[in-house]
Amino acid sequence: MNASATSAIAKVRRRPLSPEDRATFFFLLPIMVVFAVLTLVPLLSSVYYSLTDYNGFSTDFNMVGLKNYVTIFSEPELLHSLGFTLLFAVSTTLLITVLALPLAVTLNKQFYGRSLARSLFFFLGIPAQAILGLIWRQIFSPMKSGIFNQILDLFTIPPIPWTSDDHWAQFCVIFVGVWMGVGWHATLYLAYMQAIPADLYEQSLIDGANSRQQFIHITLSQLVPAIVVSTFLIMTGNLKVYDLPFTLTAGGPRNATMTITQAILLRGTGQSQYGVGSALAVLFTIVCLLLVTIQQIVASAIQRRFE
Amino acid sequence: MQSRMNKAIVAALGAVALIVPMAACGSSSADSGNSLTVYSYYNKATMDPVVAAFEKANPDIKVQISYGQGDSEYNSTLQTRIAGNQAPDVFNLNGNNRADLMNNGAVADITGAGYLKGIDETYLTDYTKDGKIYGMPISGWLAGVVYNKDLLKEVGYDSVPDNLDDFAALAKKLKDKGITPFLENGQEMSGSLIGLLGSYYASTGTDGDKEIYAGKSTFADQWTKAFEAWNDGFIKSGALPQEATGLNADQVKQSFINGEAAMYRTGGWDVADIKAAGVNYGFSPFPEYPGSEPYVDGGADPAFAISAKTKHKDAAEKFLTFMNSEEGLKLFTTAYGSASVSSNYTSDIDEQLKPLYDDYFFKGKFHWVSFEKGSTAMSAEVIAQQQGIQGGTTTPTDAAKNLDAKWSSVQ
Repeated sequence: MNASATSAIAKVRRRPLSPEDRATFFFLLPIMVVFAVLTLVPLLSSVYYSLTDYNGFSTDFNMVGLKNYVTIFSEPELLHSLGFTLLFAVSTTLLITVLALPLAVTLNKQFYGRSLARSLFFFLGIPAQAILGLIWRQIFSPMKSGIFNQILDLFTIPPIPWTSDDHWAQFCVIFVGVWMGVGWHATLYLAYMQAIPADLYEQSLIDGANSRQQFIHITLSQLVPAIVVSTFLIMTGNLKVYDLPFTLTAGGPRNATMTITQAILLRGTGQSQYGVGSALAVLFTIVCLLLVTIQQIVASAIQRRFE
Repeated sequence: MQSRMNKAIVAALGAVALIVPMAACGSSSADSGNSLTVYSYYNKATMDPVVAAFEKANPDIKVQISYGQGDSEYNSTLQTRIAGNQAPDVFNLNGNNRADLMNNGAVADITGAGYLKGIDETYLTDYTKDGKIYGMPISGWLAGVVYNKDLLKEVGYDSVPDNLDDFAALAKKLKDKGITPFLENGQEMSGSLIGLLGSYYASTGTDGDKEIYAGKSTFADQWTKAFEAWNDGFIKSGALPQEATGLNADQVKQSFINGEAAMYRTGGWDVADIKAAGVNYGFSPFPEYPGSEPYVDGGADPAFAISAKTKHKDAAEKFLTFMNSEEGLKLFTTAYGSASVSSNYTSDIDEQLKPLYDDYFFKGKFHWVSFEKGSTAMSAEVIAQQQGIQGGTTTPTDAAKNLDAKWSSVQ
């Protein structure tokens, strides 16, 4: 190492922390502590417990290697719950995005009662998921007295077994998931739309662009950052969905709407198999990381395309 | 400079504000003299009057009670508290946690305790392991078929037939009139199936479930016949429609109260609502397995137990003594709507429901399935299999075999 390099390192070492650095550190400290205590420590504990046969009661447990992971891959119902969770997260992400964008464009136009309409759509996602699940359970009741079935009856359409048929039950959970998210994400897009310069639209009008061309070439391309944020929020939020399917269908019928979070709880605490429950949680974290990474790569590729 | 300093102070205060509550979560309150911690399966409305009377009778003991809602939340919270060395002094054993808690030494052995006096041994069986008693149930529950007398009269019936074929015939008549014959909570083990299972065991003279737990028999041997009878009498006959798989307890009750369904499976807990709705109702047992006798669902309610690691054993024992006293039993069973199983007090029971207690429950003609291992997993598997039969995707023979496969995989 030469003399100048040594003195450079010494200079760096000697440079005192500026008050800005200290303030930054203190501002970050709370969230770092929260992250460490509530996320990092439990995650590392889960990795450890996933390699044991801990049952949640006895402190006398053994290391079992990857046995719990083998259990997961050999049990169709656990894989099925992983599959439904992915189906729910991906389909709601796509459907909410496809519906929220035109909704935001509509809500951005001048019309009588616009503020009320914006508030109404935003309100859909405000109540707790568990409460919405219980309400929609009544609406989707498979009995003739169910609200949707009564409406169908007006058109002499026979009742549909909404929550008692595997595929219809999955449809119900996804439908309510989309219904809840559309208004909230339309509001997000609406906020981003306020930042699109009006000049762009005016210039395009002079150039003879119609409203479809304006939407595709101006609105949509300017909203790409918003789409990235929105899809990221939906994907991460809906991968860990629990309350909605639990209250709407209780994971049934025949485990058709069982999500991974329900399976983790059922296995870990419900069946005293903390090891398998932890392995499921670890595996799920890895799948989430993979999915979110893919989503980010695709999103940034699209972003580059529009820049 | 001053503003930077302020920023740093604000940030530090923010950090402290976040850390302090988390630190508070970590440890429980210190061991405070004569305080007794109780984690109750029973809700606040049931336990508040009992606790108030107990504290009045024992002014030196302060009860700190908390509540869990439903089996799954209650059991997971209790398990977390025990795993974290924060076990309450008194808690409840139920069908889904008793095996785990008794097997892992989390509950104190109360065999021979004076406060068990008056409780019939039948009800202690579920809370006994290797001859040692771990829990004290003070009341019992039963469920049968509640029926709408007016709707049954419309199709020419006064009550629910005991014979399964006659029951199917009644169901057909109701269905033809556009009335849903029978409903039950689709997210629980089927009460009508378990009733038939109990009736089947009565005909064989052995409790088949115990044979399975002991490894002497299989579900294929013990459950197939009941599954078949249930499929013929309840499913193929259309008595229990497939829609029921998507209904919870409240929806089932609503359908009965609004006259859409003529019968459903319930017990004393719904009587107040049925009465308030003005339904002309009656109770009957489940139809019998061919050649046997009718049975009801039933068993001891969750038992009171003392933690194996309690530091307040005297106070905990006083609490259990009070629960099994005349005053404790009266307050508890009145608020909970169940029947005392202790000779120290006889509960007032709804007059329509009373014959089911007198003719079936107190005569031991009741059955419920309480798995001795993997209880939650096994219950979930039974539900999945019964839903398979209801949906026509699983045969009774396969359903029983699938239970065997699950049984061999649970710990």
